[in-house]
Amino acid sequence: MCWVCEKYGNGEKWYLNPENYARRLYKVRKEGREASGADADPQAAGMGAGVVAELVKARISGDLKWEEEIKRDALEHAYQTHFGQVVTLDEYLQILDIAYPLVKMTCGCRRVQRGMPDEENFTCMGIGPGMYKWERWPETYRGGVEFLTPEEAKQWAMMNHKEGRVQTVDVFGTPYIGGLCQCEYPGCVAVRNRLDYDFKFLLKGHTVAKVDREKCTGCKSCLGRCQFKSLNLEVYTNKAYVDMDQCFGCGLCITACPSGAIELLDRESLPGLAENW
Amino acid sequence: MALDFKVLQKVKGNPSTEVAADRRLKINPGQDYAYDMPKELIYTINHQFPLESLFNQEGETNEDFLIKQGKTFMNLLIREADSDAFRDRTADMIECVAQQTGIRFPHVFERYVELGILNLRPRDAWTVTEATTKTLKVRNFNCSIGKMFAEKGLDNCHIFCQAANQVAAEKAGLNLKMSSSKGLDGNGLCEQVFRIPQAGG
Repeated sequence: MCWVCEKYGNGEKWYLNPENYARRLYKVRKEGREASGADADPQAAGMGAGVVAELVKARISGDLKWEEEIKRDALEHAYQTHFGQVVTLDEYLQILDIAYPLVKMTCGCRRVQRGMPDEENFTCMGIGPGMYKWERWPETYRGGVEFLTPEEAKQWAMMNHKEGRVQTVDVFGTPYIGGLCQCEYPGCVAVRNRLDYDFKFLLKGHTVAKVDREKCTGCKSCLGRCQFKSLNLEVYTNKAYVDMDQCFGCGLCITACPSGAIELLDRESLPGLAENW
Repeated sequence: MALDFKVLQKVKGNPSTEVAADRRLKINPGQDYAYDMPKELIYTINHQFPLESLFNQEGETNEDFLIKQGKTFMNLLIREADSDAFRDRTADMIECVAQQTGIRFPHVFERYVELGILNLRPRDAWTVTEATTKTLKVRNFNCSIGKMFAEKGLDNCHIFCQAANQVAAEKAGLNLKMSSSKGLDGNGLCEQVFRIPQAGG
């Protein structure tokens, strides 16, 4: 179990616990700014984006202690407010049955990082009762929103998976899960910050991929799917190889493999990886 | 099983394409809405239905009386909460989504349940512990009504809540299974569970 499961999972994976998606619809209206919708913007949280400039300065200076301090302070705050974890497609589909409402929206990361036009960028999902108040944040939702049924959302999630996007759950006020992301490196701020700066705003998933060398034909279909730089082709055997230490367990490689040569193992069943989140 | 090469090959479509005609909602520039419940609604409801209404003049709380009062309370609340004076943007959006998706549970119903709690006992601690399209669970930690009944040696307050919630379910156009479980020592702990009945169940 990861530390989030231990605290918020009720003995199961925390993101499959319906309690972490439930929240009140109403509170008594306060006077002034809140009434006019000036609450914190959910996307302004930004998965560490706000401290990366500082981190780059520290890295350029070569002061490792400073870099570690920035990370430690930022993570301490993030784990109470806003972080994410990789999930498999199967888990993602299960979540769509325990969270509601489900809202298709544009991805803020890809808009900023890659300048994606809104009409081509509906790859994120806002979930839970806060989405009934989406108009509070016009800039975040400037591309509009689409409220979906669970079945429509599942089809849409499979389209995203097929296109090669990593699926994650995202917390907005721990342990409340208010977003389901589908993104890719380098556009995704969470994936990018984790890979480029070892910033653990994004936790690894509960599974790890493993290649069956007998079944692998060396077709290379899986190689381009990995967003975490954990898949390689072994030159001397011409077989795919997963660096399990680097694998985030998203499962994108599995659905690209026509010979069914890759499987997902439970991270905790592997002593060397059980604490590698 | 979704996690399979063959299954994914059958999936077609562009994620950014609108899922159905006119489904996409857009920002209405310059509009400033109110989303939370106004205090004035509490004053209005309390004026017409003070908490003391739960006991008749003889201080009795028989089943018929509590059912009648539960229905009276929720009908009053629905009338006021949906009036032009108190209706908010959250209510409009919940109804809009229900119209688009055909899914009315839990939120069309939950809205009335929550407003009922906030109006009758605004200082209580409570939370929603599950809100799926099949199940809604509301947990009260220190229900003022439960405590008030316990102080009088009574434990039938759930009849009032169930009658009120039944009116809310009817207003939302839903047939629901309802249950509640209370703490035994009158500490105000109570969980209400609402479920969509399963076919054949």
